[in-house]
Amino acid sequence: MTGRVRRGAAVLGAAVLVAASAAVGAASPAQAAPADAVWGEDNWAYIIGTDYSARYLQGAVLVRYDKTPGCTPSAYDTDSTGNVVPLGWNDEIESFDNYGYTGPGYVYCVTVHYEHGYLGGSFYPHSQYSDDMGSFRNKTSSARFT
Amino acid sequence: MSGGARRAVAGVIVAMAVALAGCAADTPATEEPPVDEIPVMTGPPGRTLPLDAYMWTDESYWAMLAATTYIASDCVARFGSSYPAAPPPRDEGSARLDEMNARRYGLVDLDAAKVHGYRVPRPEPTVDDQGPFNRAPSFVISENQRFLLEGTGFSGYRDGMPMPLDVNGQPLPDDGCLGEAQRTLAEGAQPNFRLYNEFSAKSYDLSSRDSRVVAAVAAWSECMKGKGYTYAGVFDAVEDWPEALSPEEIAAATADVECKIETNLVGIWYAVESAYQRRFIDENAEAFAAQQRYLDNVTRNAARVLAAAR
Repeated sequence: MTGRVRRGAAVLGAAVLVAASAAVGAASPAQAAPADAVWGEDNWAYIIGTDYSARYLQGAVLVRYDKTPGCTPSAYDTDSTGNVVPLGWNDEIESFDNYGYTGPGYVYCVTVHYEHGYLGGSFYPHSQYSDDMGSFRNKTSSARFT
Repeated sequence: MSGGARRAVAGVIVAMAVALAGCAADTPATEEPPVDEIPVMTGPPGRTLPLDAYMWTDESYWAMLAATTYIASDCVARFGSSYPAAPPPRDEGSARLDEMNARRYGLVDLDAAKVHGYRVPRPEPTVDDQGPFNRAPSFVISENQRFLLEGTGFSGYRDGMPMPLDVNGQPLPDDGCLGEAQRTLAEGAQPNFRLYNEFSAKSYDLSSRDSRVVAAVAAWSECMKGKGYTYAGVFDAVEDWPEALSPEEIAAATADVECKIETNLVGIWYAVESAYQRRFIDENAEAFAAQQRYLDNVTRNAARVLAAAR
Protein backbone atom coordinates (compact mmCIF):
# COMPACT_ATOMS: atom_id res chain seq x y z
CA MET A 1 0.00 0.00 0.00
CA THR A 2 1.39 3.37 -0.92
CA GLY A 3 1.70 6.12 1.59
CA ARG A 4 -0.99 7.94 -0.27
CA VAL A 5 -3.42 5.05 -0.20
CA ARG A 6 -2.57 4.29 3.41
CA ARG A 7 -3.12 7.93 4.29
CA GLY A 8 -6.31 7.81 2.34
CA ALA A 9 -7.45 4.70 4.11
CA ALA A 10 -6.74 6.23 7.49
CA VAL A 11 -8.59 9.44 6.68
CA LEU A 12 -11.38 7.39 5.16
CA GLY A 13 -11.75 5.37 8.30
CA ALA A 14 -11.73 8.32 10.65
CA ALA A 15 -14.27 10.19 8.62
CA VAL A 16 -16.50 7.21 8.10
CA LEU A 17 -16.42 6.45 11.81
CA VAL A 18 -17.90 9.84 12.50
CA ALA A 19 -20.35 9.70 9.63
CA ALA A 20 -21.44 6.15 10.27
CA SER A 21 -22.14 6.68 13.93
CA ALA A 22 -24.54 9.44 13.01
CA ALA A 23 -26.03 7.87 9.93
CA VAL A 24 -26.57 4.19 10.58
CA GLY A 25 -30.00 3.27 11.67
CA ALA A 26 -31.34 6.66 10.75
CA ALA A 27 -30.93 6.40 7.03
CA SER A 28 -34.41 6.28 5.62
CA PRO A 29 -34.96 7.99 2.28
CA ALA A 30 -36.87 10.75 4.00
CA GLN A 31 -33.93 11.51 6.24
CA ALA A 32 -31.18 10.92 3.74
CA ALA A 33 -29.30 13.73 2.08
CA PRO A 34 -31.18 15.36 -0.79
CA ALA A 35 -30.92 13.45 -4.06
CA ASP A 36 -27.68 14.09 -5.88
CA ALA A 37 -26.15 15.98 -2.97
CA VAL A 38 -23.60 13.49 -1.75
CA TRP A 39 -22.11 11.02 -4.15
CA GLY A 40 -23.09 7.50 -3.22
CA GLU A 41 -25.11 8.39 -0.15
CA ASP A 42 -28.54 8.71 -1.69
CA ASN A 43 -30.44 5.51 -1.23
CA TRP A 44 -31.53 4.70 -4.73
CA ALA A 45 -31.56 1.16 -6.04
CA TYR A 46 -29.95 1.57 -9.46
CA ILE A 47 -26.19 1.31 -9.78
CA ILE A 48 -24.48 3.51 -12.34
CA GLY A 49 -20.83 3.25 -11.40
CA THR A 50 -18.05 2.12 -9.11
CA ASP A 51 -14.95 4.03 -8.03
CA TYR A 52 -11.78 2.57 -6.56
CA SER A 53 -9.14 3.89 -4.19
CA ALA A 54 -6.23 2.46 -6.19
CA ARG A 55 -5.26 2.19 -9.83
CA TYR A 56 -6.50 -0.69 -11.98
CA LEU A 57 -9.77 -1.07 -10.05
CA GLN A 58 -7.93 -2.03 -6.87
CA GLY A 59 -8.59 -1.27 -3.24
CA ALA A 60 -11.73 0.02 -1.53
CA VAL A 61 -14.82 0.56 -3.66
CA LEU A 62 -17.42 3.32 -3.67
CA VAL A 63 -20.69 2.44 -5.39
CA ARG A 64 -22.69 5.19 -7.04
CA TYR A 65 -26.50 4.84 -7.13
CA ASP A 66 -29.12 6.75 -9.04
CA LYS A 67 -32.88 6.94 -9.40
CA THR A 68 -32.81 5.78 -13.02
CA PRO A 69 -31.26 2.61 -14.46
CA GLY A 70 -28.57 4.39 -16.45
CA CYS A 71 -28.18 7.78 -18.10
CA THR A 72 -29.89 9.40 -21.05
CA PRO A 73 -28.17 9.01 -24.42
CA SER A 74 -27.31 12.70 -24.69
CA ALA A 75 -23.76 13.51 -23.65
CA TYR A 76 -24.65 17.17 -23.24
CA ASP A 77 -27.12 16.96 -20.41
CA THR A 78 -26.54 16.19 -16.75
CA ASP A 79 -28.32 13.13 -15.48
CA SER A 80 -26.93 13.21 -12.01
CA THR A 81 -24.38 15.08 -9.98
CA GLY A 82 -22.30 14.27 -6.97
CA ASN A 83 -21.56 17.74 -5.70
CA VAL A 84 -19.67 16.35 -2.75
CA VAL A 85 -17.98 12.97 -2.47
CA PRO A 86 -18.75 10.97 0.68
CA LEU A 87 -16.71 11.67 3.76
CA GLY A 88 -13.26 10.19 3.45
CA TRP A 89 -13.32 9.87 -0.33
CA ASN A 90 -12.14 13.37 -1.17
CA ASP A 91 -8.98 13.18 -3.31
CA GLU A 92 -8.92 9.38 -2.98
CA ILE A 93 -10.20 8.03 -6.32
CA GLU A 94 -7.63 6.55 -8.70
CA SER A 95 -9.78 4.50 -11.10
CA PHE A 96 -13.44 3.94 -11.91
CA ASP A 97 -15.78 1.83 -14.02
CA ASN A 98 -19.42 2.58 -14.76
CA TYR A 99 -21.79 -0.30 -14.43
CA GLY A 100 -22.98 -2.36 -17.36
CA TYR A 101 -26.71 -3.15 -17.02
CA THR A 102 -29.16 -0.46 -18.07
CA GLY A 103 -32.90 -0.26 -18.58
CA PRO A 104 -34.54 0.33 -21.98
CA GLY A 105 -34.01 3.90 -23.10
CA TYR A 106 -30.97 4.37 -20.88
CA VAL A 107 -27.26 3.93 -21.56
CA TYR A 108 -24.09 3.52 -19.56
CA CYS A 109 -23.28 6.72 -17.77
CA VAL A 110 -20.23 8.73 -18.65
CA THR A 111 -18.56 10.50 -15.77
CA VAL A 112 -16.74 13.80 -15.55
CA HIS A 113 -14.63 14.02 -12.39
CA TYR A 114 -13.92 17.50 -11.00
CA GLU A 115 -11.08 18.76 -8.88
CA HIS A 116 -13.24 20.74 -6.44
CA GLY A 117 -16.67 20.36 -4.90
CA TYR A 118 -19.76 21.45 -6.82
CA LEU A 119 -18.14 20.66 -10.17
CA GLY A 120 -15.40 23.25 -9.77
CA GLY A 121 -11.83 23.47 -10.98
CA SER A 122 -10.11 21.29 -13.53
CA PHE A 123 -11.71 18.04 -14.60
CA TYR A 124 -11.02 14.54 -15.86
CA PRO A 125 -12.91 14.40 -19.16
CA HIS A 126 -15.94 12.34 -20.13
CA SER A 127 -15.18 8.66 -19.66
CA GLN A 128 -17.10 5.50 -19.05
CA TYR A 129 -14.14 4.06 -17.26
CA SER A 130 -10.53 4.76 -16.43
CA ASP A 131 -8.15 2.15 -15.09
CA ASP A 132 -5.65 4.84 -14.20
CA MET A 133 -6.64 8.47 -13.92
CA GLY A 134 -3.00 9.50 -14.33
CA SER A 135 -2.29 13.03 -13.20
CA PHE A 136 -5.87 13.24 -11.94
CA ARG A 137 -5.36 10.41 -9.45
CA ASN A 138 -6.45 11.44 -5.95
CA LYS A 139 -7.89 14.74 -7.16
CA THR A 140 -11.63 14.09 -7.44
CA SER A 141 -13.92 16.11 -5.19
CA SER A 142 -17.16 16.00 -7.20
CA ALA A 143 -18.53 14.47 -10.38
CA ARG A 144 -21.16 14.83 -13.04
CA PHE A 145 -22.84 11.88 -14.74
CA THR A 146 -24.14 12.21 -18.26
CA MET B 1 15.62 -19.23 2.01
CA SER B 2 13.45 -21.58 0.01
CA GLY B 3 9.93 -20.70 -0.91
CA GLY B 4 8.62 -23.34 1.41
CA ALA B 5 10.74 -22.21 4.33
CA ARG B 6 9.81 -18.61 3.70
CA ARG B 7 6.17 -19.58 3.60
CA ALA B 8 6.56 -21.41 6.88
CA VAL B 9 8.22 -18.45 8.59
CA ALA B 10 5.60 -16.06 7.26
CA GLY B 11 2.91 -18.43 8.40
CA VAL B 12 4.31 -18.65 11.91
CA ILE B 13 4.62 -14.88 12.22
CA VAL B 14 1.09 -14.35 11.04
CA ALA B 15 -0.30 -17.19 13.16
CA MET B 16 1.32 -15.68 16.24
CA ALA B 17 -0.17 -12.30 15.51
CA VAL B 18 -3.58 -13.82 14.93
CA ALA B 19 -3.36 -15.85 18.12
CA LEU B 20 -2.30 -12.86 20.19
CA ALA B 21 -5.10 -10.73 18.86
CA GLY B 22 -7.54 -13.52 19.47
CA CYS B 23 -6.54 -13.82 23.16
CA ALA B 24 -8.45 -10.74 24.19
CA ALA B 25 -11.29 -12.05 26.32
CA ASP B 26 -13.51 -9.01 26.27
CA THR B 27 -12.81 -7.10 23.08
CA PRO B 28 -13.91 -3.47 23.02
CA ALA B 29 -15.19 -2.20 19.70
CA THR B 30 -12.02 -0.28 18.96
CA GLU B 31 -9.70 -3.29 19.34
CA GLU B 32 -8.73 -5.84 16.76
CA PRO B 33 -11.41 -8.52 16.50
CA PRO B 34 -10.50 -12.18 16.94
CA VAL B 35 -10.18 -14.29 13.83
CA ASP B 36 -11.16 -17.92 14.12
CA GLU B 37 -10.02 -19.29 10.81
CA ILE B 38 -7.77 -18.09 8.04
CA PRO B 39 -8.56 -19.60 4.66
CA VAL B 40 -5.80 -20.33 2.17
CA MET B 41 -6.65 -18.13 -0.81
CA THR B 42 -4.74 -18.28 -4.07
CA GLY B 43 -7.10 -16.10 -6.08
CA PRO B 44 -9.59 -13.27 -5.79
CA PRO B 45 -11.89 -13.40 -2.77
CA GLY B 46 -15.11 -13.20 -4.77
CA ARG B 47 -18.28 -11.74 -3.31
CA THR B 48 -18.08 -13.59 -0.01
CA LEU B 49 -17.22 -10.87 2.50
CA PRO B 50 -19.98 -10.54 5.13
CA LEU B 51 -21.11 -7.14 3.87
CA ASP B 52 -21.54 -8.50 0.37
CA ALA B 53 -24.77 -10.14 1.52
CA TYR B 54 -26.27 -6.66 1.81
CA MET B 55 -25.45 -5.60 -1.74
CA TRP B 56 -26.81 -6.59 -5.13
CA THR B 57 -25.20 -9.47 -6.93
CA ASP B 58 -25.17 -9.42 -10.71
CA GLU B 59 -27.98 -11.98 -10.63
CA SER B 60 -30.23 -10.16 -8.17
CA TYR B 61 -29.55 -6.79 -9.77
CA TRP B 62 -30.37 -8.11 -13.23
CA ALA B 63 -33.60 -9.70 -11.92
CA MET B 64 -34.60 -6.44 -10.24
CA LEU B 65 -33.91 -4.49 -13.41
CA ALA B 66 -35.73 -7.01 -15.58
CA ALA B 67 -38.79 -7.02 -13.31
CA THR B 68 -38.72 -3.22 -13.26
CA THR B 69 -39.18 -3.13 -17.02
CA TYR B 70 -42.31 -5.29 -16.80
CA ILE B 71 -43.91 -3.27 -14.01
CA ALA B 72 -42.94 0.06 -15.55
CA SER B 73 -44.26 -1.12 -18.90
CA ASP B 74 -47.71 -1.81 -17.39
CA CYS B 75 -47.61 1.51 -15.57
CA VAL B 76 -46.71 3.55 -18.65
CA ALA B 77 -49.47 1.77 -20.60
CA ARG B 78 -52.03 3.02 -18.07
CA PHE B 79 -51.11 6.52 -19.18
CA GLY B 80 -51.68 5.72 -22.84
CA SER B 81 -48.05 5.32 -23.80
CA SER B 82 -45.66 2.41 -24.06
CA TYR B 83 -42.37 1.22 -22.61
CA PRO B 84 -40.71 -2.04 -23.60
CA ALA B 85 -40.72 -4.87 -21.10
CA ALA B 86 -37.23 -5.83 -22.12
CA PRO B 87 -34.71 -7.31 -19.69
CA PRO B 88 -31.15 -6.21 -20.48
CA PRO B 89 -28.98 -8.76 -22.27
CA ARG B 90 -27.13 -10.84 -19.70
CA ASP B 91 -23.71 -10.49 -21.29
CA GLU B 92 -23.81 -6.74 -21.72
CA GLY B 93 -21.48 -4.28 -20.09
CA SER B 94 -17.98 -4.24 -18.74
CA ALA B 95 -18.28 -3.76 -15.01
CA ARG B 96 -19.50 -6.68 -12.95
CA LEU B 97 -20.80 -6.46 -9.40
CA ASP B 98 -19.65 -10.00 -8.74
CA GLU B 99 -16.10 -8.94 -9.56
CA MET B 100 -16.10 -5.90 -7.33
CA ASN B 101 -13.73 -7.54 -4.84
CA ALA B 102 -11.48 -9.04 -7.49
CA ARG B 103 -8.66 -6.59 -6.78
CA ARG B 104 -9.63 -5.46 -3.30
CA TYR B 105 -6.32 -6.69 -1.89
CA GLY B 106 -4.41 -5.92 -5.07
CA LEU B 107 -3.83 -8.09 -8.11
CA VAL B 108 -4.20 -11.77 -7.18
CA ASP B 109 -4.92 -13.49 -10.47
CA LEU B 110 -1.70 -15.23 -11.51
CA ASP B 111 -2.89 -16.12 -15.01
CA ALA B 112 -3.95 -12.53 -15.66
CA ALA B 113 -0.66 -11.19 -14.27
CA LYS B 114 1.32 -13.34 -16.70
CA VAL B 115 -0.61 -11.94 -19.65
CA HIS B 116 -1.80 -8.47 -18.74
CA GLY B 117 0.54 -7.36 -15.97
CA TYR B 118 -1.45 -5.04 -13.76
CA ARG B 119 -3.76 -3.95 -16.58
CA VAL B 120 -7.48 -4.62 -16.59
CA PRO B 121 -8.37 -6.73 -19.63
CA ARG B 122 -10.88 -4.88 -21.79
CA PRO B 123 -12.81 -6.03 -24.85
CA GLU B 124 -11.65 -4.35 -28.02
CA PRO B 125 -14.48 -2.32 -29.56
CA THR B 126 -15.35 -3.27 -33.11
CA VAL B 127 -17.07 -1.37 -35.88
CA ASP B 128 -20.23 -3.45 -35.61
CA ASP B 129 -20.29 -3.87 -31.88
CA GLN B 130 -18.86 -1.12 -29.80
CA GLY B 131 -19.76 -2.99 -26.64
CA PRO B 132 -19.61 -0.87 -23.51
CA PHE B 133 -18.52 2.16 -25.51
CA ASN B 134 -21.78 2.26 -27.41
CA ARG B 135 -23.92 5.19 -26.33
CA ALA B 136 -26.83 4.29 -28.55
CA PRO B 137 -29.72 2.91 -26.46
CA SER B 138 -31.34 -0.33 -27.50
CA PHE B 139 -34.65 1.54 -27.33
CA VAL B 140 -35.19 5.20 -28.00
CA ILE B 141 -37.81 6.72 -25.74
CA SER B 142 -39.56 10.05 -26.12
CA GLU B 143 -39.55 12.93 -23.67
CA ASN B 144 -43.12 12.02 -22.74
CA GLN B 145 -42.14 8.44 -21.99
CA ARG B 146 -39.22 9.67 -19.91
CA PHE B 147 -41.56 11.95 -17.95
CA LEU B 148 -43.86 9.00 -17.27
CA LEU B 149 -40.90 6.92 -16.12
CA GLU B 150 -39.23 9.51 -13.91
CA GLY B 151 -42.05 11.78 -12.73
CA THR B 152 -40.80 14.94 -11.07
CA GLY B 153 -37.24 13.65 -11.47
CA PHE B 154 -37.52 14.13 -15.24
CA SER B 155 -35.19 16.91 -16.37
CA GLY B 156 -38.00 18.59 -18.27
CA TYR B 157 -40.31 18.73 -15.26
CA ARG B 158 -41.06 22.14 -13.86
CA ASP B 159 -42.75 22.97 -10.58
CA GLY B 160 -46.48 23.22 -10.98
CA MET B 161 -46.68 21.05 -14.06
CA PRO B 162 -49.87 18.97 -13.87
CA MET B 163 -49.29 15.26 -13.47
CA PRO B 164 -51.02 13.16 -16.14
CA LEU B 165 -53.93 10.94 -15.13
CA ASP B 166 -54.09 7.23 -15.92
CA VAL B 167 -57.09 5.31 -17.25
CA ASN B 168 -58.43 5.09 -13.69
CA GLY B 169 -58.12 8.81 -13.13
CA GLN B 170 -55.13 8.40 -10.84
CA PRO B 171 -52.22 10.86 -11.20
CA LEU B 172 -48.73 9.80 -12.14
CA PRO B 173 -46.76 9.11 -8.94
CA ASP B 174 -44.18 11.79 -8.14
CA ASP B 175 -41.44 9.23 -8.65
CA GLY B 176 -42.95 8.08 -11.94
CA CYS B 177 -43.39 4.54 -13.17
CA LEU B 178 -39.83 3.61 -12.24
CA GLY B 179 -40.66 4.65 -8.71
CA GLU B 180 -43.88 2.63 -8.81
CA ALA B 181 -41.87 -0.38 -9.95
CA GLN B 182 -39.39 0.05 -7.12
CA ARG B 183 -42.12 0.39 -4.52
CA THR B 184 -43.95 -2.65 -5.87
CA LEU B 185 -40.83 -4.78 -5.68
CA ALA B 186 -39.73 -3.49 -2.27
CA GLU B 187 -43.17 -4.10 -0.75
CA GLY B 188 -42.77 -1.43 1.93
CA ALA B 189 -39.10 -2.01 2.70
CA GLN B 190 -36.58 0.78 2.18
CA PRO B 191 -33.18 0.35 0.55
CA ASN B 192 -30.15 1.40 2.53
CA PHE B 193 -27.17 0.82 0.29
CA ARG B 194 -25.16 3.48 2.04
CA LEU B 195 -24.52 0.86 4.72
CA TYR B 196 -22.32 -0.95 2.24
CA ASN B 197 -20.40 2.13 1.13
CA GLU B 198 -19.80 3.26 4.68
CA PHE B 199 -18.87 0.05 6.38
CA SER B 200 -17.06 -1.47 3.44
CA ALA B 201 -14.75 1.53 3.39
CA LYS B 202 -14.37 1.42 7.15
CA SER B 203 -13.59 -2.28 7.30
CA TYR B 204 -11.09 -1.87 4.50
CA ASP B 205 -9.31 0.90 6.32
CA LEU B 206 -9.26 -0.79 9.73
CA SER B 207 -8.15 -4.11 8.30
CA SER B 208 -5.35 -2.48 6.31
CA ARG B 209 -3.95 -1.12 9.60
CA ASP B 210 -4.64 -4.28 11.63
CA SER B 211 -1.47 -5.83 13.08
CA ARG B 212 -2.18 -9.19 11.44
CA VAL B 213 -2.50 -7.63 7.99
CA VAL B 214 0.51 -5.42 8.62
CA ALA B 215 2.49 -8.57 9.46
CA ALA B 216 1.23 -10.30 6.34
CA VAL B 217 2.18 -7.32 4.18
CA ALA B 218 5.64 -7.35 5.77
CA ALA B 219 5.96 -11.03 4.88
CA TRP B 220 4.86 -10.26 1.32
CA SER B 221 7.41 -7.42 1.16
CA GLU B 222 10.14 -9.79 2.34
CA CYS B 223 9.11 -12.29 -0.32
CA MET B 224 9.24 -9.56 -2.97
CA LYS B 225 12.70 -8.60 -1.81
CA GLY B 226 13.76 -12.19 -2.42
CA LYS B 227 12.60 -11.77 -6.01
CA GLY B 228 14.50 -8.53 -6.48
CA TYR B 229 11.76 -5.98 -5.76
CA THR B 230 11.69 -3.49 -2.92
CA TYR B 231 8.13 -2.49 -2.03
CA ALA B 232 6.80 -1.71 1.42
CA GLY B 233 3.13 -2.07 0.54
CA VAL B 234 1.11 -4.13 -1.92
CA PHE B 235 -0.02 -1.12 -3.94
CA ASP B 236 3.53 0.22 -4.23
CA ALA B 237 4.14 -2.44 -6.84
CA VAL B 238 1.64 -0.76 -9.16
CA GLU B 239 4.17 1.74 -10.39
CA ASP B 240 3.82 4.30 -13.11
CA TRP B 241 4.47 1.76 -15.80
CA PRO B 242 4.81 3.00 -19.40
CA GLU B 243 1.62 3.13 -21.40
CA ALA B 244 2.59 0.04 -23.38
CA LEU B 245 2.64 -3.22 -21.46
CA SER B 246 6.24 -4.34 -20.93
CA PRO B 247 7.94 -7.62 -19.94
CA GLU B 248 9.20 -5.80 -16.84
CA GLU B 249 5.66 -5.03 -15.72
CA ILE B 250 4.55 -8.59 -16.36
CA ALA B 251 7.52 -9.91 -14.36
CA ALA B 252 6.76 -7.58 -11.45
CA ALA B 253 3.05 -8.38 -11.47
CA THR B 254 3.77 -12.10 -11.60
CA ALA B 255 6.21 -11.87 -8.68
CA ASP B 256 3.67 -9.79 -6.80
CA VAL B 257 0.94 -12.40 -7.15
CA GLU B 258 3.30 -15.27 -6.42
CA CYS B 259 4.30 -13.59 -3.17
CA LYS B 260 0.67 -12.95 -2.25
CA ILE B 261 0.01 -16.67 -2.72
CA GLU B 262 3.16 -17.69 -0.87
CA THR B 263 2.35 -15.55 2.18
CA ASN B 264 -1.42 -16.11 1.95
CA LEU B 265 -1.80 -12.35 2.14
CA VAL B 266 -5.26 -12.46 0.58
CA GLY B 267 -6.53 -15.15 2.96
CA ILE B 268 -5.27 -13.26 5.99
CA TRP B 269 -6.58 -9.87 4.87
CA TYR B 270 -9.89 -11.42 3.90
CA ALA B 271 -10.25 -13.15 7.28
CA VAL B 272 -9.35 -10.03 9.22
CA GLU B 273 -11.61 -7.74 7.20
CA SER B 274 -14.42 -10.27 7.53
CA ALA B 275 -14.05 -10.10 11.30
CA TYR B 276 -14.40 -6.31 11.24
CA GLN B 277 -17.41 -6.54 8.96
CA ARG B 278 -19.13 -9.11 11.17
CA ARG B 279 -18.62 -6.79 14.12
CA PHE B 280 -20.18 -3.87 12.25
CA ILE B 281 -23.14 -6.02 11.28
CA ASP B 282 -23.63 -7.13 14.88
CA GLU B 283 -23.36 -3.57 16.18
CA ASN B 284 -25.90 -2.30 13.64
CA ALA B 285 -28.12 -5.33 13.48
CA GLU B 286 -31.37 -3.43 13.02
CA ALA B 287 -30.18 -1.42 10.04
CA PHE B 288 -28.65 -4.45 8.35
CA ALA B 289 -31.78 -6.52 9.01
CA ALA B 290 -33.86 -3.81 7.33
CA GLN B 291 -31.58 -3.85 4.32
CA GLN B 292 -31.83 -7.65 4.22
CA ARG B 293 -35.62 -7.36 4.25
CA TYR B 294 -35.43 -4.95 1.33
CA LEU B 295 -33.23 -7.27 -0.73
CA ASP B 296 -35.33 -10.32 0.19
CA ASN B 297 -38.56 -8.56 -0.81
CA VAL B 298 -37.17 -7.32 -4.10
CA THR B 299 -35.63 -10.67 -4.97
CA ARG B 300 -38.83 -12.56 -4.14
CA ASN B 301 -41.11 -10.16 -5.97
CA ALA B 302 -38.82 -9.89 -8.98
CA ALA B 303 -38.85 -13.66 -9.31
CA ARG B 304 -42.65 -13.60 -9.14
CA VAL B 305 -42.90 -10.91 -11.81
CA LEU B 306 -40.46 -12.66 -14.11
CA ALA B 307 -42.20 -16.02 -13.65
CA ALA B 308 -45.55 -14.48 -14.53
CA ALA B 309 -44.06 -12.86 -17.60
CA ARG B 310 -42.81 -16.12 -19.08
